[in-house]
Amino acid sequence: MIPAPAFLANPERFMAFSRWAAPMFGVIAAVLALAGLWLGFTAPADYQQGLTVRIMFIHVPAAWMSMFVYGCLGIASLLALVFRHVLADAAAQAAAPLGAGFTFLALVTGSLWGRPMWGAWWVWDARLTSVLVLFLLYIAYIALRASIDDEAKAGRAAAILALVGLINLPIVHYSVTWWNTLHQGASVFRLGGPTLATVYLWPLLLMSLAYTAAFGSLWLVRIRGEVWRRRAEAAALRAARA
Amino acid sequence: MKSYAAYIWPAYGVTALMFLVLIASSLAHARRWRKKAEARGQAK
Repeated sequence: MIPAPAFLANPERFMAFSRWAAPMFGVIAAVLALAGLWLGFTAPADYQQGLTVRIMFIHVPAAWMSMFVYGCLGIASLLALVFRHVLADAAAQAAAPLGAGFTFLALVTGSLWGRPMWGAWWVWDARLTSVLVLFLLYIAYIALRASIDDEAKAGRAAAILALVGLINLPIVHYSVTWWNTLHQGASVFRLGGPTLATVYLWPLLLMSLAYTAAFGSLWLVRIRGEVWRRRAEAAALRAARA
Repeated sequence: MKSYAAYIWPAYGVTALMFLVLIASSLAHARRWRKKAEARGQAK
């Protein structure tokens, strides 16, 4: 059973929970990815995209995760700012490299799909540009944290940046409806249901769940690493003062 | 129909590589600091 977030606010309970939850999410991610890849590579070629539709099964989940992880980063940053909770700050810090990785994948795989379908590696349309801004926000968050020696000050400054950056999430999501873009509109989460054929919908959903489980696993591992780092550094500081 | 293999395989390749990097860096970070915390009597 997955415990409530408040239960996990206690570092000891979090460490006990994440010890088994991280590998469990990892196994779930691997199983879902294998099933998704099998269905994806046995799906027929799309009548318009041909076999490049297979890039969608790794591009779309990466794009969704790029926004989902930033949402997690924003919530953790808010909790860290308001309650000054060490675990929330560690969670925010741990989410940023993972979010940057997913956003990088969304940009690169999108580019590899765009070249044969649009005839261009890159266009400055609203969706692509706002996702690039999202990637730069992740990089800025990581760089800002690394540039300030004082851990508490670094955490607060980075949290404020993360919260300001939240404004970009609705821009990314609605960019395809607010502006005329080359990037296609929503085809899964839309009023009236998905427009995607079932044969493509299943591998896409399985891969999306695999990406989500993989993020869950890696996030927990990174937060555990942050907890140990802070404990080790605090102990070293105490030893130096003694 | 074109196979588009020159676009599909690099997309899967870069995805696999990124996941490997994220997994390896996450595990290495956690292991390194767990060892240091253990050495300082702080790991539980």
